Amino acid sequence: MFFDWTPRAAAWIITALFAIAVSASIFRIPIQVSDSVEILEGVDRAPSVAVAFAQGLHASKTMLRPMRQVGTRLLLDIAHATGDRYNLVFRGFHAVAAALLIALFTQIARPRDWSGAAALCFAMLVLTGLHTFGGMTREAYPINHFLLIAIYCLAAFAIAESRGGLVADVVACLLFVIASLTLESGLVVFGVALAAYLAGLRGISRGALIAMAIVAAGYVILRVPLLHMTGNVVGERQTGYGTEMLTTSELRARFGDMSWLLYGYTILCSFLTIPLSQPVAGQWTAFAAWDPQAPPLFFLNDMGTSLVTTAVVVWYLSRRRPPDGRRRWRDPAPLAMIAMLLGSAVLSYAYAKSEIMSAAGVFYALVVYLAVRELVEVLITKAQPSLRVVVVLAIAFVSTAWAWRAMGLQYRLQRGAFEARSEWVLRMPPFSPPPVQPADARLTPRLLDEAMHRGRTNPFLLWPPYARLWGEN
Amino acid sequence: MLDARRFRVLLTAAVAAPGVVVALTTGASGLSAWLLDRPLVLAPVPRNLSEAAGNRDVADVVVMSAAADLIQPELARIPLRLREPATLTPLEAAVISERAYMIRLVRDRGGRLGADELRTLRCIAEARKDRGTIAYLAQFDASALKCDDVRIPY
Repeated sequence: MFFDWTPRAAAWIITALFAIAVSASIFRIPIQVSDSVEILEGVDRAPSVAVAFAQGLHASKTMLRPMRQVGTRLLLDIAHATGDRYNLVFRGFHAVAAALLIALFTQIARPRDWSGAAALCFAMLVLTGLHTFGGMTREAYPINHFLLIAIYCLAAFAIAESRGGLVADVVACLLFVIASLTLESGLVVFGVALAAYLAGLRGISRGALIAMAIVAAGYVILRVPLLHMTGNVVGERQTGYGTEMLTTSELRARFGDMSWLLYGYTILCSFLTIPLSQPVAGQWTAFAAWDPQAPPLFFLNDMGTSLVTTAVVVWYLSRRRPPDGRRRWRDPAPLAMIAMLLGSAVLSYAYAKSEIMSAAGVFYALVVYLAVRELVEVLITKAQPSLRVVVVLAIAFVSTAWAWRAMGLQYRLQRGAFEARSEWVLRMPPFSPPPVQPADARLTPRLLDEAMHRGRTNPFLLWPPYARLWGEN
Repeated sequence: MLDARRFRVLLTAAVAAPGVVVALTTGASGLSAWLLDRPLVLAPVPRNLSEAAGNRDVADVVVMSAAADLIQPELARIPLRLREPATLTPLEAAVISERAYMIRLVRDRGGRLGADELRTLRCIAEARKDRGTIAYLAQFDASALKCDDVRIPY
């Protein structure tokens, strides 16, 4: 036979198609003006990677993210070496990273039979259809570090599943160092490694975990006594509360004297945003007054699919594993998901942001894969004959609803390309002050030229209700 | 009633089929985007300057205006504002977009705004009751407006 059509091969073909789809749409988005141009121009002036790293250490009183500058500087060097092709290098890097995340997901899931391959198809819809996935793909700053953190977490989990050894330990520790110096969210890599160990995986040894704990302590020492950094406080960034999105001044006025209330609320809401798809950035958008331009169908689809899927996950977590009767929630992937949800939620105490929860969303999709695979096996053996048609129709309905959400990602990425391209006109003179003063704008003219000539697309030419069904006007 | 074998097949298909459809559709679109810079789904592009102006596409207005006639009326689809395509000049389409920045951009790129054109644009803005474009156009002429003999082009 020309092609051996096995479940494993089918799973990898599906994975490749999803990876191509997501990465192609990411690649078409021009580098944005906001959150990108100023950083690019600033980092480009640093004479070396080491200087960029040092600048990153002192860039903020609350954020310790020097690896962002390092990554940006390295990509800028590559761009300069390839004829100043900034979009090719930065967007190419973003696209490859997204494809890598999707491939790592399948590598860890490892479907071996047709139930597994089918569950992977479903899990891919959950992975790419969750609202937190959009945050890893639509924007870049100019590198999307939330996507990198999710990759580091998956890689740490894959190492934990491996046979281990010195190289595995060193790589795991390096991942933790790089992740924690990229974003505060990177600290959850330690949570993943620890959860995997507690669940019985030994690819990352106890010694490596101790080394990671020492690195974590060093991180705290670097932040507080050495760099005199503080944590975020109330009112530094806007965040949702109830059905409202509060401005920084509103937050200070309302929670200045009882910050604990806002922190508790934000942690809880960040935790819930993955299993419920609500609230979004702390705001219960689905329960705000209905906007006639945004029909409830969007919220019903988002929350309905998430509720059903989370119910399947809860069912799976409460089941016992056949060999030893241990509850499934103590298995490696579920325990890592719980660690990610808790860790990421705590780290976003001061303001809720979907992107911070994005890595936890990846692990949620991984557990959905396991749960759906088991559900299929259980239904095949135990579903009553009289209910079989209903079961098939119900599952097809939920799966199709997730497919609609996954298509929404493609819409949002095309819209992201449109908006990023439009920014290069509307956030530049004569419509707005320039992002960087002309005397300092060494890269801007080239970035503008590249943006104008890539990623042509206009979502407003689509039938308007499409956008509304994906929650945009 | 489904027998066990058929149930297994249909159940597996029910779980997998939507994902397979999304993978094939978006994967083929992604391949086209990688190879030809032209996605197959959810990525329409304006056919002409009027269509770009009517659909808030400032970047395409900038790119197209370098080589296109900014006075020429063309058939434009503006699904957010018009039920049917209409033949519009770029400035008329800009007013229909209900974005003052678009009118400004088309003017800056060479759109002609004589007395007759201005009156037509003001009448379109009045017909659409869009306060932003009405106020923007009033900067050029705030006199009393008569639209009885002006043809609204849609």
